[in-house]
Amino acid sequence: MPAKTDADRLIGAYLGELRSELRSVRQPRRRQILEAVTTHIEEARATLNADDEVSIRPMLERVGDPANIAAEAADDEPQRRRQWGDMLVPWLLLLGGFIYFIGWFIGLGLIWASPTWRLRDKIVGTLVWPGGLAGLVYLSSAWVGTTSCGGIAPIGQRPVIHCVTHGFSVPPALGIPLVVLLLVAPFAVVIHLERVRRGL
Amino acid sequence: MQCMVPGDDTMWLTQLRRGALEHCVLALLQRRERYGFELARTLADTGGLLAGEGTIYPLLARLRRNGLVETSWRESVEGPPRRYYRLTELGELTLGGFVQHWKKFRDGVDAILEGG
Repeated sequence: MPAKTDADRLIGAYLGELRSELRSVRQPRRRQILEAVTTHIEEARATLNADDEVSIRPMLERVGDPANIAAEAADDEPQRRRQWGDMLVPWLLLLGGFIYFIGWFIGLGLIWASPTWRLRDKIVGTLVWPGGLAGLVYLSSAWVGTTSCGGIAPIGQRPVIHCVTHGFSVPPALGIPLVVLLLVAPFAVVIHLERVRRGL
Repeated sequence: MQCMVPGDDTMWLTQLRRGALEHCVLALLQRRERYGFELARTLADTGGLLAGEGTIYPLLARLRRNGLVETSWRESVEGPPRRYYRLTELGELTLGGFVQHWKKFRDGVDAILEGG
Protein backbone atom coordinates (compact mmCIF):
# COMPACT_ATOMS: atom_id res chain seq x y z
CA MET A 1 0.00 0.00 0.00
CA PRO A 2 1.56 3.32 -1.07
CA ALA A 3 2.35 5.88 1.66
CA LYS A 4 -0.08 8.76 2.09
CA THR A 5 1.04 12.03 0.57
CA ASP A 6 0.23 15.55 1.80
CA ALA A 7 -2.37 15.69 -0.97
CA ASP A 8 -4.04 12.51 0.35
CA ARG A 9 -4.10 13.94 3.87
CA LEU A 10 -5.66 17.22 2.69
CA ILE A 11 -8.38 15.34 0.81
CA GLY A 12 -8.92 13.02 3.78
CA ALA A 13 -9.33 16.01 6.12
CA TYR A 14 -11.76 17.66 3.70
CA LEU A 15 -13.90 14.52 3.43
CA GLY A 16 -13.79 14.08 7.20
CA GLU A 17 -15.10 17.61 7.64
CA LEU A 18 -17.83 16.99 5.07
CA ARG A 19 -18.82 13.75 6.82
CA SER A 20 -19.14 15.62 10.07
CA GLU A 21 -21.15 18.47 8.51
CA LEU A 22 -23.53 15.95 6.93
CA ARG A 23 -24.35 14.28 10.27
CA SER A 24 -27.89 15.68 10.30
CA VAL A 25 -28.62 14.25 6.84
CA ARG A 26 -30.21 10.83 6.88
CA GLN A 27 -28.88 7.70 5.26
CA PRO A 28 -28.74 6.74 2.44
CA ARG A 29 -28.59 10.35 1.23
CA ARG A 30 -25.60 11.14 3.44
CA ARG A 31 -23.65 8.24 1.98
CA GLN A 32 -24.68 9.08 -1.60
CA ILE A 33 -23.54 12.70 -1.26
CA LEU A 34 -20.23 11.65 0.29
CA GLU A 35 -19.61 9.13 -2.50
CA ALA A 36 -20.51 11.68 -5.18
CA VAL A 37 -18.18 14.34 -3.75
CA THR A 38 -15.39 11.74 -3.33
CA THR A 39 -15.76 10.75 -7.01
CA HIS A 40 -15.84 14.44 -7.97
CA ILE A 41 -12.55 15.03 -6.15
CA GLU A 42 -10.98 12.00 -7.85
CA GLU A 43 -12.05 13.37 -11.24
CA ALA A 44 -10.82 16.88 -10.43
CA ARG A 45 -7.52 15.50 -9.10
CA ALA A 46 -6.92 13.65 -12.38
CA THR A 47 -7.10 16.96 -14.28
CA LEU A 48 -4.39 18.65 -12.18
CA ASN A 49 -0.89 19.19 -13.56
CA ALA A 50 0.73 18.42 -10.21
CA ASP A 51 -0.49 16.23 -7.35
CA ASP A 52 0.81 18.40 -4.52
CA GLU A 53 -0.60 20.58 -1.77
CA VAL A 54 -0.33 23.75 -3.90
CA SER A 55 -2.61 22.25 -6.57
CA ILE A 56 -4.95 20.37 -4.25
CA ARG A 57 -5.90 23.34 -2.05
CA PRO A 58 -7.49 25.46 -4.82
CA MET A 59 -9.18 22.35 -6.22
CA LEU A 60 -10.83 21.71 -2.84
CA GLU A 61 -11.81 25.37 -2.63
CA ARG A 62 -13.61 24.93 -5.96
CA VAL A 63 -15.46 21.91 -4.58
CA GLY A 64 -16.71 24.27 -1.88
CA ASP A 65 -17.08 24.72 1.83
CA PRO A 66 -18.37 21.44 3.37
CA ALA A 67 -20.82 23.51 5.42
CA ASN A 68 -22.39 24.87 2.19
CA ILE A 69 -22.76 21.38 0.74
CA ALA A 70 -24.36 20.18 3.97
CA ALA A 71 -26.66 23.24 4.05
CA GLU A 72 -27.85 22.44 0.52
CA ALA A 73 -28.51 18.84 1.59
CA ALA A 74 -30.22 19.83 4.84
CA ASP A 75 -32.63 22.21 3.09
CA ASP A 76 -34.90 19.45 1.89
CA GLU A 77 -34.24 17.07 4.77
CA PRO A 78 -37.56 16.09 6.35
CA GLN A 79 -37.93 16.78 10.04
CA ARG A 80 -36.57 13.84 11.98
CA ARG A 81 -39.49 12.73 14.08
CA ARG A 82 -37.71 9.65 15.27
CA GLN A 83 -34.49 11.37 16.25
CA TRP A 84 -35.13 10.68 19.91
CA GLY A 85 -35.63 7.04 19.00
CA ASP A 86 -32.29 6.96 17.19
CA MET A 87 -30.61 8.33 20.31
CA LEU A 88 -32.05 5.53 22.41
CA VAL A 89 -31.35 2.63 20.05
CA PRO A 90 -27.73 1.78 21.00
CA TRP A 91 -28.53 1.89 24.74
CA LEU A 92 -31.76 -0.08 24.47
CA LEU A 93 -29.93 -2.78 22.54
CA LEU A 94 -27.20 -2.89 25.21
CA LEU A 95 -29.19 -2.51 28.43
CA GLY A 96 -32.87 -2.85 27.46
CA GLY A 97 -32.79 -6.58 28.09
CA PHE A 98 -32.65 -5.96 31.84
CA ILE A 99 -36.25 -4.69 31.70
CA TYR A 100 -37.69 -8.17 31.12
CA PHE A 101 -36.17 -8.03 27.60
CA ILE A 102 -38.91 -5.55 26.56
CA GLY A 103 -36.41 -2.70 26.23
CA TRP A 104 -34.24 -4.76 23.91
CA PHE A 105 -37.22 -5.58 21.67
CA ILE A 106 -38.15 -1.87 21.54
CA GLY A 107 -34.55 -1.06 20.53
CA LEU A 108 -34.78 -3.76 17.88
CA GLY A 109 -38.00 -2.28 16.47
CA LEU A 110 -36.51 1.23 16.43
CA ILE A 111 -33.27 0.26 14.70
CA TRP A 112 -35.09 -1.65 11.93
CA ALA A 113 -37.57 1.20 11.42
CA SER A 114 -34.89 3.90 11.32
CA PRO A 115 -33.28 5.02 8.05
CA THR A 116 -30.19 6.17 9.96
CA TRP A 117 -28.44 2.79 9.89
CA ARG A 118 -27.56 0.59 6.94
CA LEU A 119 -28.72 -3.00 6.64
CA ARG A 120 -25.40 -4.39 7.87
CA ASP A 121 -25.54 -2.14 10.98
CA LYS A 122 -29.04 -3.42 11.72
CA ILE A 123 -27.95 -7.03 11.36
CA VAL A 124 -24.91 -6.51 13.61
CA GLY A 125 -27.05 -4.62 16.15
CA THR A 126 -29.50 -7.53 16.22
CA LEU A 127 -27.01 -10.39 16.42
CA VAL A 128 -24.42 -8.96 18.89
CA TRP A 129 -25.94 -10.03 21.20
CA PRO A 130 -29.62 -10.95 21.29
CA GLY A 131 -30.92 -9.46 24.54
CA GLY A 132 -27.82 -7.30 24.96
CA LEU A 133 -25.93 -7.61 28.24
CA ALA A 134 -28.94 -9.24 29.86
CA GLY A 135 -28.85 -11.98 27.25
CA LEU A 136 -25.19 -12.45 27.99
CA VAL A 137 -25.83 -12.75 31.73
CA TYR A 138 -28.59 -15.28 31.10
CA LEU A 139 -26.39 -17.27 28.76
CA SER A 140 -23.34 -17.20 31.04
CA SER A 141 -25.40 -18.50 33.96
CA ALA A 142 -26.13 -21.59 31.88
CA TRP A 143 -22.47 -21.92 30.94
CA VAL A 144 -20.91 -21.75 34.37
CA GLY A 145 -20.55 -25.24 35.69
CA THR A 146 -21.56 -26.05 39.27
CA THR A 147 -20.10 -29.03 41.03
CA SER A 148 -21.64 -30.72 44.04
CA CYS A 149 -19.98 -33.52 45.99
CA GLY A 150 -21.17 -36.03 48.50
CA GLY A 151 -19.77 -39.17 49.98
CA ILE A 152 -20.01 -42.05 52.41
CA ALA A 153 -17.44 -43.37 54.82
CA PRO A 154 -18.14 -47.02 55.75
CA ILE A 155 -16.58 -48.10 59.06
CA GLY A 156 -13.03 -49.27 58.62
CA GLN A 157 -12.85 -48.22 54.99
CA ARG A 158 -11.65 -45.10 53.16
CA PRO A 159 -14.41 -42.58 52.42
CA VAL A 160 -15.84 -42.60 48.91
CA ILE A 161 -16.67 -39.20 47.48
CA HIS A 162 -18.75 -38.66 44.34
CA CYS A 163 -18.81 -35.30 42.57
CA VAL A 164 -21.40 -34.30 39.95
CA THR A 165 -20.98 -31.29 37.62
CA HIS A 166 -24.11 -29.51 36.30
CA GLY A 167 -24.03 -27.24 33.22
CA PHE A 168 -20.94 -26.59 31.08
CA SER A 169 -17.45 -26.25 32.36
CA VAL A 170 -15.01 -24.36 30.13
CA PRO A 171 -11.27 -24.45 30.82
CA PRO A 172 -10.04 -21.01 32.04
CA ALA A 173 -7.58 -20.69 29.12
CA LEU A 174 -10.52 -20.73 26.74
CA GLY A 175 -13.20 -19.35 29.02
CA ILE A 176 -11.54 -16.08 30.07
CA PRO A 177 -10.78 -14.80 26.51
CA LEU A 178 -14.27 -15.95 25.48
CA VAL A 179 -15.93 -13.98 28.28
CA VAL A 180 -13.82 -10.89 27.47
CA LEU A 181 -14.81 -11.17 23.80
CA LEU A 182 -18.48 -11.65 24.67
CA LEU A 183 -18.38 -8.59 26.95
CA VAL A 184 -16.40 -6.31 24.64
CA ALA A 185 -18.39 -7.05 21.46
CA PRO A 186 -21.72 -5.41 22.50
CA PHE A 187 -19.88 -2.27 23.70
CA ALA A 188 -18.01 -2.10 20.38
CA VAL A 189 -21.36 -2.40 18.56
CA VAL A 190 -22.86 0.41 20.66
CA ILE A 191 -19.90 2.67 19.84
CA HIS A 192 -20.26 1.80 16.15
CA LEU A 193 -24.03 2.49 16.08
CA GLU A 194 -23.49 5.77 17.92
CA ARG A 195 -20.78 6.84 15.47
CA VAL A 196 -23.06 6.08 12.50
CA ARG A 197 -25.88 8.04 14.17
CA ARG A 198 -23.62 11.05 14.63
CA GLY A 199 -22.28 10.74 11.09
CA LEU A 200 -18.67 10.23 12.19
CA MET B 1 -37.52 37.31 8.98
CA GLN B 2 -34.76 37.84 6.44
CA CYS B 3 -33.80 41.46 5.78
CA MET B 4 -31.75 42.95 3.01
CA VAL B 5 -28.59 44.54 4.29
CA PRO B 6 -27.12 47.35 2.15
CA GLY B 7 -23.95 46.11 0.47
CA ASP B 8 -24.63 42.49 1.42
CA ASP B 9 -25.36 40.76 -1.86
CA THR B 10 -25.03 37.19 -0.59
CA MET B 11 -28.62 36.74 0.56
CA TRP B 12 -30.44 37.68 -2.64
CA LEU B 13 -27.78 36.01 -4.77
CA THR B 14 -28.23 32.76 -2.85
CA GLN B 15 -32.00 32.94 -3.26
CA LEU B 16 -31.72 33.78 -6.96
CA ARG B 17 -29.28 30.93 -7.51
CA ARG B 18 -31.47 28.49 -5.64
CA GLY B 19 -34.51 29.33 -7.74
CA ALA B 20 -32.75 29.16 -11.08
CA LEU B 21 -30.11 26.50 -10.60
CA GLU B 22 -32.33 23.42 -10.66
CA HIS B 23 -33.79 24.53 -13.97
CA CYS B 24 -30.35 25.32 -15.40
CA VAL B 25 -29.40 21.71 -14.63
CA LEU B 26 -32.56 20.50 -16.38
CA ALA B 27 -31.75 22.74 -19.37
CA LEU B 28 -28.21 21.33 -19.62
CA LEU B 29 -29.62 17.81 -19.53
CA GLN B 30 -32.18 18.59 -22.22
CA ARG B 31 -29.38 18.78 -24.78
CA ARG B 32 -27.69 15.53 -23.74
CA GLU B 33 -27.06 13.37 -20.71
CA ARG B 34 -24.10 14.37 -18.54
CA TYR B 35 -22.23 13.16 -15.46
CA GLY B 36 -21.97 15.04 -12.18
CA PHE B 37 -18.43 16.39 -12.54
CA GLU B 38 -19.20 17.70 -16.02
CA LEU B 39 -22.40 19.41 -14.84
CA ALA B 40 -20.65 20.97 -11.84
CA ARG B 41 -17.77 22.35 -13.93
CA THR B 42 -20.12 23.76 -16.59
CA LEU B 43 -22.32 25.52 -14.04
CA ALA B 44 -19.39 26.80 -11.96
CA ASP B 45 -17.68 28.18 -15.08
CA THR B 46 -20.89 29.83 -16.32
CA GLY B 47 -21.25 33.04 -14.38
CA GLY B 48 -20.62 31.43 -11.00
CA LEU B 49 -23.99 29.70 -10.87
CA LEU B 50 -22.68 27.33 -8.19
CA ALA B 51 -21.43 28.46 -4.77
CA GLY B 52 -19.15 25.39 -4.83
CA GLU B 53 -19.00 22.47 -7.24
CA GLY B 54 -19.91 20.03 -4.48
CA THR B 55 -23.23 21.74 -3.81
CA ILE B 56 -24.60 20.26 -7.02
CA TYR B 57 -24.77 16.75 -5.57
CA PRO B 58 -27.52 17.37 -2.99
CA LEU B 59 -29.39 19.19 -5.76
CA LEU B 60 -28.99 16.29 -8.20
CA ALA B 61 -30.17 13.89 -5.50
CA ARG B 62 -33.27 16.04 -5.00
CA LEU B 63 -34.03 16.17 -8.75
CA ARG B 64 -33.68 12.41 -8.89
CA ARG B 65 -35.93 11.88 -5.89
CA ASN B 66 -38.57 14.14 -7.44
CA GLY B 67 -38.48 12.14 -10.67
CA LEU B 68 -37.14 14.99 -12.83
CA VAL B 69 -33.96 13.15 -13.78
CA GLU B 70 -32.90 9.51 -13.91
CA THR B 71 -29.44 8.03 -13.78
CA SER B 72 -27.28 5.19 -15.03
CA TRP B 73 -23.72 4.12 -14.24
CA ARG B 74 -21.07 3.82 -16.94
CA GLU B 75 -17.44 2.83 -16.85
CA SER B 76 -14.92 5.54 -17.63
CA VAL B 77 -11.46 5.06 -19.14
CA GLU B 78 -10.24 8.17 -17.32
CA GLY B 79 -11.12 7.24 -13.76
CA PRO B 80 -13.91 5.88 -11.54
CA PRO B 81 -17.31 4.83 -13.00
CA ARG B 82 -19.56 7.78 -13.71
CA ARG B 83 -23.20 8.32 -12.84
CA TYR B 84 -24.89 9.84 -15.88
CA TYR B 85 -28.02 11.98 -15.49
CA ARG B 86 -30.74 12.37 -18.10
CA LEU B 87 -34.02 14.24 -18.19
CA THR B 88 -37.31 12.40 -17.63
CA GLU B 89 -40.63 13.29 -19.21
CA LEU B 90 -41.62 15.07 -15.99
CA GLY B 91 -38.32 16.97 -16.10
CA GLU B 92 -39.09 18.10 -19.67
CA LEU B 93 -42.52 19.38 -18.61
CA THR B 94 -41.10 21.18 -15.57
CA LEU B 95 -38.40 22.84 -17.65
CA GLY B 96 -40.95 23.92 -20.28
CA GLY B 97 -43.04 25.63 -17.58
CA PHE B 98 -40.00 27.36 -16.10
CA VAL B 99 -38.79 28.69 -19.47
CA GLN B 100 -42.21 30.20 -20.12
CA HIS B 101 -42.36 31.96 -16.74
CA TRP B 102 -38.69 32.91 -16.72
CA LYS B 103 -39.00 34.91 -19.95
CA LYS B 104 -41.88 36.93 -18.55
CA PHE B 105 -40.07 37.41 -15.24
CA ARG B 106 -36.79 38.44 -16.90
CA ASP B 107 -38.53 40.88 -19.26
CA GLY B 108 -40.42 42.40 -16.33
CA VAL B 109 -37.27 42.88 -14.24
CA ASP B 110 -35.37 44.28 -17.25
CA ALA B 111 -38.19 46.73 -17.99
CA ILE B 112 -38.13 48.04 -14.42
CA LEU B 113 -34.33 48.24 -14.18
CA GLU B 114 -33.84 49.91 -17.54
CA GLY B 115 -36.90 52.11 -17.84
CA GLY B 116 -38.31 52.47 -14.35
